[in-house]
Amino acid sequence: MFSVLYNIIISPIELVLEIIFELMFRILGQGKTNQGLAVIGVSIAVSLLTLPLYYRADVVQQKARNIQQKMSHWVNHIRKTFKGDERFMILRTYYRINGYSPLSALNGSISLLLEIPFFIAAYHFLSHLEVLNGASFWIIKDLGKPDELFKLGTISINILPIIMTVINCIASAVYLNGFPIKDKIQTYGMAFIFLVLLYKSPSGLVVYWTCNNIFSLVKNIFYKLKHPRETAYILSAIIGTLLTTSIILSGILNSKKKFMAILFFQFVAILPLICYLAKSYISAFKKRTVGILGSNDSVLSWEFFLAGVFLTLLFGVLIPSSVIASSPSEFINLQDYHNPFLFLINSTCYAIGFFLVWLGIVHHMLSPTVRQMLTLMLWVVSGGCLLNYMCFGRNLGLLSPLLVFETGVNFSKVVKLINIMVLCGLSALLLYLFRFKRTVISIYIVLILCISSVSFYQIYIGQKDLQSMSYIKSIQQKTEIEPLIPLSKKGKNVIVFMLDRGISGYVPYMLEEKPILKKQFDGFTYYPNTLSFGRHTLFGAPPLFGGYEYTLVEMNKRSSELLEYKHNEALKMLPVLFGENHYKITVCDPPLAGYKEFPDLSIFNDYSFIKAYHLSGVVKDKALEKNMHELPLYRNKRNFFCYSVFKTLPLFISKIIYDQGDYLSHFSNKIVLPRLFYEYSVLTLLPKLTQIDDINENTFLSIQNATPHEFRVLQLPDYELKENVNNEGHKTGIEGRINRYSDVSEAHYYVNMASFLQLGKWFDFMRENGVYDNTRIILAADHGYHYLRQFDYMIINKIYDNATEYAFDVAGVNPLLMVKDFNAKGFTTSKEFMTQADVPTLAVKNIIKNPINPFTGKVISDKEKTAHPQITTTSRNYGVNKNTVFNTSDGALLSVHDDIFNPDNWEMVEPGTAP
Amino acid sequence: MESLLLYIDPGTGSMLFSILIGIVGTLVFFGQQVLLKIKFIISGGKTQKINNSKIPCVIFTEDKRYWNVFKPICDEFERRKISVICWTACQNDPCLSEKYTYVKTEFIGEGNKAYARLNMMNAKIVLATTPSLDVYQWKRSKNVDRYVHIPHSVDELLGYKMFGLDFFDAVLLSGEFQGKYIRKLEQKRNTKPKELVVVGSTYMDSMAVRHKTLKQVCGDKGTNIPHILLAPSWGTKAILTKFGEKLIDILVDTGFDVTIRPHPQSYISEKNIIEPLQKKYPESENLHWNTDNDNFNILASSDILITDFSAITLDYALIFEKPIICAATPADNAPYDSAWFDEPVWRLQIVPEIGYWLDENAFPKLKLLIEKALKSTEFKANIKKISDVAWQNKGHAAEAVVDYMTREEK
Repeated sequence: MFSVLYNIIISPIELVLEIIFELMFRILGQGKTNQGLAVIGVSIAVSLLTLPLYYRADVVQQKARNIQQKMSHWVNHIRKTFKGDERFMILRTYYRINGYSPLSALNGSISLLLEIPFFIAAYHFLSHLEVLNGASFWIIKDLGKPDELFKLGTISINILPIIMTVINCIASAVYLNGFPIKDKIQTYGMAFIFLVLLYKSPSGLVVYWTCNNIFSLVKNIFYKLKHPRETAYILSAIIGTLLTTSIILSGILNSKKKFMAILFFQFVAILPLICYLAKSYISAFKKRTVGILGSNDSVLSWEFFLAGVFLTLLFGVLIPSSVIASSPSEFINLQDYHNPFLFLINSTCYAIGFFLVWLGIVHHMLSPTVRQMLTLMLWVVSGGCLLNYMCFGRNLGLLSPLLVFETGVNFSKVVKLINIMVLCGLSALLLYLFRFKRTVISIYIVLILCISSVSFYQIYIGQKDLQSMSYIKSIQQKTEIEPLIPLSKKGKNVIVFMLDRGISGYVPYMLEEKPILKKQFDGFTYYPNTLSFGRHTLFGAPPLFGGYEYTLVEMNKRSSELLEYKHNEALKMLPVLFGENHYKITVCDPPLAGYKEFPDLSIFNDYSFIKAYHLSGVVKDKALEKNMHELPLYRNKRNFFCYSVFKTLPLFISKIIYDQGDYLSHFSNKIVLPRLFYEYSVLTLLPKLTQIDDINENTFLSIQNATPHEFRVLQLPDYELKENVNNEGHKTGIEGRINRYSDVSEAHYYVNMASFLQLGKWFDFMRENGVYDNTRIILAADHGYHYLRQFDYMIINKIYDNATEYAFDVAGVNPLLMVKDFNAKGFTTSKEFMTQADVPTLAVKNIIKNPINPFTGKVISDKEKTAHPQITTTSRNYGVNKNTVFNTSDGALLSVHDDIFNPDNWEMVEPGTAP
Repeated sequence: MESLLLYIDPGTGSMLFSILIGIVGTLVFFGQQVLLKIKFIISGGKTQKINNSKIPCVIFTEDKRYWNVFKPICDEFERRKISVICWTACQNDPCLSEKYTYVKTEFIGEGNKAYARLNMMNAKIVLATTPSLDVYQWKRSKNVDRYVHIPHSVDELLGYKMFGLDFFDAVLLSGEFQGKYIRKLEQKRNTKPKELVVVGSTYMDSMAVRHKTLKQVCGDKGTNIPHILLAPSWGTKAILTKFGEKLIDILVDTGFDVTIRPHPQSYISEKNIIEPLQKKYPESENLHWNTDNDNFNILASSDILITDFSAITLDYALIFEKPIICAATPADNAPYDSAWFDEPVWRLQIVPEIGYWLDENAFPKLKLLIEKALKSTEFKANIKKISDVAWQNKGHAAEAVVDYMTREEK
């Protein structure tokens, strides 16, 4: 209960503070002394944000004080004359006659009370801000500790709290001029209490409070001036200009964005003065707008309330629930299982806090006209938000569980322009409609009902999905790593190792950068000319594990069976076949088993000889875990709300809040992906997971790992997984070898390299234990990556790819394929045309006689490869759970034969004409 | 988290005390309001459904003693064949036994039950002589267009409990002078000016008619011995309680006819005072105890009234044109609207013009005072003058009230 209240009232303010701090920190640059400046910035921002509340409080309190003074004679008279209920009733009547209500008197106090959340938020934020630890500022050595500026022998005295108290006393003296002695004692008493309370606090916190006190002093001086407003406007303009000029002259602004930010600051500083000078124009404008607004003096405006509810549901429930419902299992943290829909509580709390509580408070404190203007503004904003969410920025590609888009967020100028124009049109329409109060209310009610039912439906669907994955709950974290993968010393071992999104094109570069890999990968043949049957696991995994019977064209031919059934069949084919041939079978992390993001191992339940395991998310490399700062999904508690904001903002500014996936947080989401940690953990633990058996038994291992899928920049030179990567001074591995530089392609190279290095270590382990030569290893990927655009020879200009909006990049359908046969030596490259569907043929070759698919009875072979051109697709249709055939209409069907890098070999295929 | 609450901006620290006091004060205040509501509900004041149709005119009378105010009005409605509804909160209100065709009378329950009905009523115009609308339990209904007050006295109307008339929309005056006081109060309290209409006084009109009839029936009394009526109020400050035997002895000694008419309430709550007095001063030739339900005849037959000060004093003087002697017990006006005025109220100012103030020091010369008063032509002239000021539109008040109500109702 307390945390819900905290999330509703405090968290929204904390979010704003965090964003202010982060923006300041970024503008100032992450220098070592800038933490102090940023703290001061936060103090100024908080003081400015609460200034209107202070002002209102003072005005209301003064009014109340005047009325009380005026009434005091008769109040005393009534108190003396009447008794009991009658006294109360007469007093109430007298208050009413004077337009005084004890509640309205409390208004002044309420606004002061409301400031407490600001202070709690600031305190909570600053005390959890690790960057303050060890940061020096001016004469303070460490903002995370008491200042200890003065030493008297062995005793350290903290000077800053004393300065703070002195300023506090001066501010109080100015404020209390002419107040009764009782007030003075209270105020100075409080100043002393604060000295005691804050004396041993971290100096960063004391800096913050000292600044608040200075602000309070300035404010109190202004109150005593004859023309406080005018003076404040002029001073704001002068100080703003001086600050801006000095910052520009100091040369710390090293980017165009920072320069723009400072100009914006300058504009804000002089805005009040401009407004004041243009007062007469503004009042004329006000008069005009009042016409549109109509008159509404009632305290509760239904339009305002409904707008608050609508925005709360949109930001807090609808948008986050749609993301979670799309793939609930991805938002499950196996380290700490919670229903992912619980994130909705956080996002809803933020939304309630922003749109109902804080906006409500602001609304309550405004004058009736401004109140109506706010209601009108919310009406237009509501429409704009819904439009942006429903109609714009819909195809942004894959979204990670940390709400980071795989391919970043980019909108073309044309789209941005269209967005602005449509928004302007909608705003005009909404402004016109605002006259019709009933229409507005009806629209709100209809939208609220729609949003509620859609959200409910999404949550229902997601819950159902989660129920079908109830096995996830039962998966226990493994504290001790057990050897689960048996490899035989005397028999034969066959390993089919799928690396999700293993990039074929990087292999030569990786081997060149780390020559040790060539030794470790001794015996492998690398097939660069390999085709995948799609650009996503759904299309690529079935042929990889099941061969040519499970390509997209062949699966679609069995149109009466569910895709899920055929997918599971493909995953089971090799384990069952090898099992029937008396191999010891191990299956680890079969991709999308049961068509579930988190594999459903029950598909192997009918086969007692198959040992199936979850590794990813279950086994953790403790050495790596030390580098993890916090539960990775924790940030989603905050970021889901920010994601909603991002999705509803006009496109030209939405990128600012998206902030490359960090959502203006001080904690970067790019640090590490939880899934990368889990996947990479499996690779580093492979030697520990391997059981070397001395008995004469053959083994078969089918394993999948997605480390190359979770692309991130890693720490050079050893491609280590770390939170704070600093690669200054290191040459990036692919520098000078790629055609185009981009974050995405670089990060893919890092994770591919990290995978290879770990696999190399595993192969070394196998060699040391005498199980390398008697093992056939097939490294294959389900697909490549179509946004790579690294190799000119892979770009097929004649084919336009509507997903990337560029020419077709073969890299998307060029998966890794490397094969090491028994006793093979050396490292060779073969340009033979291969497909991922060759894997089963390669796996069974020469060790299983007459290999037949146990499910279809057909012979396992690669004859199909040369019988006709192969069909692949650029489709990314994922919603296939209930389908029996792949619907590839969102992309193209393409045919290719032989050399996949020869543009002439590629053709577009009309749907329905595939062989 | 609790410890965080200690970290509050030092600048606002001192304000916290006042906030705390404010909150506690407000909580207490609203607590009282809630308590009062609960009390109201428990005692039967349940809310009732608002009448679907708006009633044009409603007369509300709280007690049977106000029937003299409303009877002439109801009669006038009946005479004009205009429908009116008369609600009473008194079960044995005489209005309930009247046989009207156009006047519909109804007992709406007593106390809070009546207020619940009134607070939810749906009418165009409500006429009442009960003051303190929207001060105590009787609230203004949102569905009533106009609340009109008709006074049950002809004084300056400052004798109501504080804010007695503040929430009425209109007041029907017996004399224009009352308006000046109402306007002054409005100015002092900065309240919305009420509509003020001089209509006269319905109950005074009735009394005048009755007096005239009585005179015609009984003629003048046969004896020249003055008839003194001692009609005290009740309570600790009332003259009978305060002076008792001392006063009666002096009155009996005057040799005049003396009738003592204690306040009906005295028989209930001051038995210990009345009974010994009745024992000591039994009925005799020139001393009588009067307990008539209707005081009109005894008032009419007396030549001078000795009483505590109350509205009836003025009514007596104006109807019977006879002098009065008022006990100078200083009335505590703190709970009343008159407390808002520094000078003595009008009704006190006029006492020396129509009679005498009586204090203990004047007891020895009481006989003299009575004789002087009875002979005074100045008092008689003053009574007529005051009557013209305080009681205008004589004989036509009911017509004026109905004219006003039917006009406003439209």
